[in-house]
Amino acid sequence: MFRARLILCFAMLMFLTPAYADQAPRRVVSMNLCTDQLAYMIAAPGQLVSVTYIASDPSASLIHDKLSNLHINHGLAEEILRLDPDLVIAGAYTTRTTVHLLRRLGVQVEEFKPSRNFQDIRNRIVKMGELLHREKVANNYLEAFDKNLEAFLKTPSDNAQKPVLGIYSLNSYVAGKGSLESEMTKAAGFRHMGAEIGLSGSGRLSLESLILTNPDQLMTWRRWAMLPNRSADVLRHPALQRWFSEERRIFMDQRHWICGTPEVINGIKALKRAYEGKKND
Amino acid sequence: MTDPSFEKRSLPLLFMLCILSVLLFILSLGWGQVWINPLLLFAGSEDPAVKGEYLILLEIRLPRAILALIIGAILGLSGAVLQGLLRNPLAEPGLLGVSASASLGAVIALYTGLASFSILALPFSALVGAAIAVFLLHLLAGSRADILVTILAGVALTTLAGALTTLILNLSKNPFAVLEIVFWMMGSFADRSLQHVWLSLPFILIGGLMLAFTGRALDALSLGHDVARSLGVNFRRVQLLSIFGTAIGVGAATAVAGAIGFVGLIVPHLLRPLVGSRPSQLLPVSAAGGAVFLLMADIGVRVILPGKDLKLGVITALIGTPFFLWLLIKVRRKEVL
Repeated sequence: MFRARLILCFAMLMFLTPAYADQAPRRVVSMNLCTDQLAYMIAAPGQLVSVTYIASDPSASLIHDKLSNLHINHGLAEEILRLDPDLVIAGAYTTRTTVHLLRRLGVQVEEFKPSRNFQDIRNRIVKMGELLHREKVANNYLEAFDKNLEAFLKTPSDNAQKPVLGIYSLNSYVAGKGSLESEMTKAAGFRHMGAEIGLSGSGRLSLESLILTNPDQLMTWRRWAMLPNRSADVLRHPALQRWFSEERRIFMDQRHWICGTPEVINGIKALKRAYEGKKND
Repeated sequence: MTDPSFEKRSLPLLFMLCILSVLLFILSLGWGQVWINPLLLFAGSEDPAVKGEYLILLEIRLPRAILALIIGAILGLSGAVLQGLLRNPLAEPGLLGVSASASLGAVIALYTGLASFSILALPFSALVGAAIAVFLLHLLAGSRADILVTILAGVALTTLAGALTTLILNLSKNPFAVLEIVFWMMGSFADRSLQHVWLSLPFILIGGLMLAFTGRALDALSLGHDVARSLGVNFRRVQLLSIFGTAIGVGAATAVAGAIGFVGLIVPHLLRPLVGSRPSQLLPVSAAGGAVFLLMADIGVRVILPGKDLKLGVITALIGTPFFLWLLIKVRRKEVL
């Protein structure tokens, strides 16, 4: 009985999807933390029906407390199909098997690549607007985003004068040049340590090397640094605490830095504020 | 039953190994991303030009070298004791699942939040894990059991503990926890602090002392149970000392450095031809040899792939596995004959 319904469900999906192509999608499912948050901003009320379980994690997601009307998915094909979506949005590198399966079954799946710079974010906002047929809302976000960004980037100053900001994450991870993190750091008026030492992609930087590299300011993630586990141990290491005194430490909310959404503006603003507060003290 | 020739040979060897471990300890302090003169440690941090180097030396490299020294010693010692107690040349805390179970204990303490109640919860939970493993092994295999049965029981324990460790890290709310699986299975001394030394040192000393007391009794035991009993050896006491000594020492070691395998297998076997197979002679040199071996492996980690945090267990397994297979073939040949 259940199987028959499921097959019927597949069949309906296959026939009906093309018919919706010119209309706004009515049941949108997102399978990636970053598309969750972007879709949530841009979608019409009720248009987004499901987001991932990570979106409900307060340490990773800015919309964790706004999901009471949404289904939570774990990126599994079965639960996605049961939601009867007419558009599925996924990250380009995660939940691959589910994406392939959904496509084989005729579900429209759109993929978003992770953003590495501000242009990527602009592109995603536009793309999300088009997919959801909410171009106007997307455009408003885009304009606000551009205006803010312009304000950040127009403060010119000698690059060599800028302080170096080292961002040190769990397990000693450091991002390199060409990452969103480094673009955000530069927009906030810093030089980015990972880019300065010629790191590309991301990699581990031992505590020794961090101390020898000696960035002017050290930024760590407020929530994750408190976790009682081994990967956060290095952030509480006595050598780190002694070398980077209170006035050289910045604690930030990692949620603004994970995803390429308009929220990165708030991340940059918070960083600027934190640093300026230190200078005035 | 005392053979003076071996006693004569084991003392100079012990002395040499101690000298060697001191030299390696100093080399371990100096070697890293950049060479730092170990003597700086005594010069203090007055000069601002070397303040960073002094801090690195004191807070990062010193704990690393101390941990390699004491953990190498306890692993070598417990390997020698377990081989004597189980009368099994293949016994070793890593292979028998003791280290993996200690890892499981540590991970349970960390991710259930137990570790945030008391700083002692972490080593304690790890040593409970280790104690359960040694106890189960003894129950399963006993001291008269077939060598291979004991090893297979160890394999089963290692697999189970590894799977449960992975499960707990998977269930963790922390998105980075899964990356830690490698640490708990392979071990590393990178970026440990003096806190880790203070946390493990007392346990390792107590465990080491308990194990050291088993030497004479294990000598008698090597002649067979009946002979040992007639010589007045209290078998239960030896058992308890070995089990709890291993659990306390290896448990605390694993809690701060992860599971490091094969040290306890390789070291006693390399030294046995030099001092003879009498445990009382073998135990002290195995401890010193374990320290030498692990200090060398930890320097090797930094020489082979600097800046990549190559896990210590990778090196010990690369050396240990061929060695283990060779021993296995030797054991089987003896059984056929």
